[in-house]
Amino acid sequence: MGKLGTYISNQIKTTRNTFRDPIIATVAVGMVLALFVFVVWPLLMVVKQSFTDLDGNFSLQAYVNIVTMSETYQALVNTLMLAIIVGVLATSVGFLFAYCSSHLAIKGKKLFNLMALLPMVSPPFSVALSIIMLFGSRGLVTYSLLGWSNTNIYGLKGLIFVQTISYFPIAFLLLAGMLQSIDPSIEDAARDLGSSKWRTFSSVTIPLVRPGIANAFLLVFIKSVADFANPMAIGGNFSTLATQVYLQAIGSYDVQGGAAVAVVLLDIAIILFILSKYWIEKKTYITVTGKASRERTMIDDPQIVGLVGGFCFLVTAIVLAIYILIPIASFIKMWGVDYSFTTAHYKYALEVGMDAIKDTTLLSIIATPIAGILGMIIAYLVVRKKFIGRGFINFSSLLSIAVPGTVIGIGYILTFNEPPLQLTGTAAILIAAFVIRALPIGIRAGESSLQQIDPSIEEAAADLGSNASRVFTTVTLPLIKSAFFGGLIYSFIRSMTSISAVIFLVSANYSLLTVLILDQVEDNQFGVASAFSTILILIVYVAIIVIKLMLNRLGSNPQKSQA
Amino acid sequence: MAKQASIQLKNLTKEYVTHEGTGTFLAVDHINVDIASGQFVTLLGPSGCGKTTTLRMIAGFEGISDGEILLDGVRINELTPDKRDSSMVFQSYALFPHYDVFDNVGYGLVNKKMDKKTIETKVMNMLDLVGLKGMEHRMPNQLSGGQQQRVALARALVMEPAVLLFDEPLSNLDAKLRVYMRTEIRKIQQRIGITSVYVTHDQSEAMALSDKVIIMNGGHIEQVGSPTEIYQYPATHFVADFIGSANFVPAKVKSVSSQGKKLESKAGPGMEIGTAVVEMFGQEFTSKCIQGELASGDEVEVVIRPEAIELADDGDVKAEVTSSTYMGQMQDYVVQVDGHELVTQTYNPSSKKVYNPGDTVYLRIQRDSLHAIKK
Repeated sequence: MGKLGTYISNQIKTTRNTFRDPIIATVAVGMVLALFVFVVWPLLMVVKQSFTDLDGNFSLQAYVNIVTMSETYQALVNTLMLAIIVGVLATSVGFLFAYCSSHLAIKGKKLFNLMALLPMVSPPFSVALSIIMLFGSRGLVTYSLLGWSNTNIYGLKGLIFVQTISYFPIAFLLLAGMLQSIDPSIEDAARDLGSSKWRTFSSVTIPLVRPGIANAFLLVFIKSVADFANPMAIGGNFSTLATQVYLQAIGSYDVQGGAAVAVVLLDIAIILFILSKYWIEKKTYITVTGKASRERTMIDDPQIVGLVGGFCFLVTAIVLAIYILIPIASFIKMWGVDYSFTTAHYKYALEVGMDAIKDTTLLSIIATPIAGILGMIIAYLVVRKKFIGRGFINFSSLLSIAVPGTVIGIGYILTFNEPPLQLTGTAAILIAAFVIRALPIGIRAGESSLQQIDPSIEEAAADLGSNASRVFTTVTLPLIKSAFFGGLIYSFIRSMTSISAVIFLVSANYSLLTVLILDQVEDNQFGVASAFSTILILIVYVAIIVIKLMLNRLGSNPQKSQA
Repeated sequence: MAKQASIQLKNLTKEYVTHEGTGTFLAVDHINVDIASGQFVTLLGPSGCGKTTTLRMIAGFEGISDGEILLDGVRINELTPDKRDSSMVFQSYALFPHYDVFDNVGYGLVNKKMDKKTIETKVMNMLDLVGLKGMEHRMPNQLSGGQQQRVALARALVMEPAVLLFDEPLSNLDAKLRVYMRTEIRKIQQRIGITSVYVTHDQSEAMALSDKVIIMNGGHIEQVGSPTEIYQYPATHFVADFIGSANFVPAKVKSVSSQGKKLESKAGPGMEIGTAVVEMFGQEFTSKCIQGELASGDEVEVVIRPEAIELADDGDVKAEVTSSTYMGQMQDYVVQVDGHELVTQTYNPSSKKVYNPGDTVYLRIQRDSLHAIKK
C-alpha cells in the first residue's frame, strides 16, 4: 500500500507540474479522450458484444460456435497456418535483401528501396489482381504461354505467394536498418581473430540481428493475420478470420458471431504486438547512434554476390512486373481472351465510379492533415512531457497498428450506430477511421525525429518567452518538418488505399474506390479493376508531388543541411 | 545598464521519483542561498550534486518540491519558464538550427512583441557586443563552437533579463577557447552588471569567474564563499579536497587564540578567521581556522596545499622522497613522513635542486598557509 501510495502521489505531482501549462493540459486531456473514444471504446464494444446473445443477455455461445462451427474453426486454423508460412518466407526473402543491401558490393541496390515502397503506395488488390492475371485459369503465363487449362491459383498457394510478395519489404526495411547499424569493426574483429566469412556471418552477424529477425517475423505474421483484401480477392474457399468477421457480420447479419471472431483475431494480434514491442525490442543489442563509425568494407566474393544478388534482382524483376501489369491491364480489352487495346474500362470506371473517386479523394484530403498534426502532437506529448495518461496515449495509439482493420470496422459499427455518438452513414466516421488507421506511423516518425532533437532547444524557446503552442509551432514543428510531411504522405496513401476497416462503414451516401475495386475483382472484371487501381495510383502520386512541393516551398530541411 | 535583481532560495528542495516509481530521493535538499544584485555566483560541485537541478528550478524547467524562489523578494515558484525574467545559456547552446544567427538572437524579442526596427537595433548591438558582427546571416551549423557559444550568450543577453543563468556553457569547448571565453563572459557580465548564476564542475572556471562560489555535494551546500575563502579556508574536508589538491594531516589542537579577523570580499561579509596552535609531526605549528569552530584538545585535520611545502636539505620535518615526476613547469613529489604520504609541488624546477626517490629531505612548510578543520 505504501509503495502504491507514493507511486500514485508521485504521478500526481508530476502531472500537476506538467499541467501548470494550460495549453499542454488541454491538449493532453483532449488526446486521451479522442483515443479513448475512437480506439479503446470500439474495441471494448466488440468484446462486450461477443459475450452478448441476441436478446442482450450474457452468453458464451459465440465462443462455443467458434470451436464447434467447423467453418470458423477452419478459418482460425487457416489464418495461423498461412501466417506462419508467410512469416517464414517473407522474413527469409527480406533478410536476403537486407544483407545484400548492407553487406554486398553490388550496383543498383537503390532499386531495392524503390521496390520496397511499391506495396505501400499501391491499392490493396494490386498484387492479387496481377497474380490472377498471370497465373490464373486464363493467366498470361499459365494459359497463354504454357497452354495449361484449369490452373487454380485461388486458395492457400495463391495467398502465400501474394502475401509473401506484399510483406517481405517490411522485413527487408527493418532488417536492413539493423544490419547497417552493426558497427563494422565488430565483424572485422571476428575476421581478425581468424573467423572465416561464413563463421563471421553465423557467429556474429546473425546473432546480432536475431531479435530483428524475430521481430520481422512477428510483424509479417501480424500483417498476414490482419490481411483482409488478399483473402477476399484470391482466397477462394480458403477463409481466414479477417474475412470471416466481415462475412458473418455483414454477409450473414450475425454481428454477435462476427464480434466473437473479431475478438479472437484481436487477441492474436495484441499478443503478438505486445510480444514484439515489449519483449523482442528490449533484447536488441544494437544501439543506433546515428554516427557511422566507419564505412563497411563490402563483400565482393563473386560466388556470394552472384547467388544472393542474383536472387534479389530476380525477385525485384518479378515484383516490378507485377506492379507494372496493373496499368497495362487497364488498357486490355479482355484479359486471357482478347489482348487488344481499349479505353473502354476507363470510360466505364469514370461513369460508375466518379462519385467514389470524388468521395475517396475528398475524405482523404480532410483526414490527412488531421492525422498528420495529431500524430506530431501525440509524439511531442509522449516524448517530451510526463503526465498520467501518457502511457495510455502511447499504448492506445500504437495499439491501432496492431488491431486488424476488420476489428476496428465492426467496433465502429457497434459503437457509433446509436447515441451518444451516432455517426454511421456520415463522412465523420470514415474520416475518423482514416485518421486512426494512419496515425501510428506518423507518431512513430515524429517520435524518432524528436528523440534526435536536443530538448534544450525547446527549453531555450520557452526560456525566451514562448508559451507551449509557440514553442511547438516555431521550434518543434519546423525541426520535425520532414517527419511531419512524411506523415502527411503516408496518411494520404493509407486513407486512399484503406479497405478493411472502412468496408464496414461505407453507405449509400459515401462510397469508396477500394470497395469498387473489390467488387470488380470479385466479378472477374480485371480490366475495370485495373483501371480503378491505376486512377487511384495516379491520385496518390499527384498528392505526393503536391505535398513535396509544399515542403520545398517551406524551405529546405534544416537537419539535412547540417553536414 | 541592465536591470539587476537579487535571488533568494529558501529551503529549496527537489524530490525525484526513483526509476521504478515507488521511491523518492532528494536531489536538492532544503538549500538556502542569497544572491545579491549584480553578483556573479557559481554553483560548483561534482556531477549529481544538485547544481544543475537548482539552476533549472530557478529557470522554471524543474518543478519545485518544497521551499521557494524569490526574485527581488517576489515568489516566482508558480511561473512557467516563459513568464520568468531570466535567460539561460545552455550547455549544448540549444541554438535553433533552422534560424540564422540574427533570427536566433531576435527570437525572444519577437515574443516580447517588439517592432522590427527595435529588434534589428537590439540584435545588431548585441552581436557587436559579443563580437559576431557580420555573421548575422550565418546558420548555426556554419559557426565554430566558440561562435555558437557567443550566439547563445547574445540570445540570452538581448532579452535584458533580471538574471542570467549559465548551465556549464563552456564544457563543449577545447581547453584554450574555454579559458578565453570565460574571460569574455566575465568581461561582458562586469560591463552590464547583470546578476548571474553559473553552474560548473570545473573549479578553475568557478575561481576565475565568480564573486561568490557555492560548493554543493549530495544535494547540500558544503560552503559558500569568495574564491579566496573556499581555497584558503575550506569549511569541510570535501571542500578542501574538491578545490585544488590538498594533504590532510591529523593533528591535535593545543590552544586557540580568541581574536579573529573578519574577511570582506565581493561575496559580502565573509567568515571570521582565527588561529590555533596544533601539534603535528610531533612539533607545534600555528594554523588558521574558522573562528569558534575549534577548541583546545580537538582532534583535527590540517590542510596543507602541495605548493605550500618546499623541499630542502635542512628544515622542520624530515621526510623521504618516494616519487619524483618532472612536469615541465613544476616538479611533483610524493614524500613519506611518519607513515603519512604528502604530495608537494616545486615550481620552476629548472632553477632548483631536484631530488630523486630514496633521497632524504627536509620539508619547509609555509606557516601562514596551514588551515585546520574539524575531523
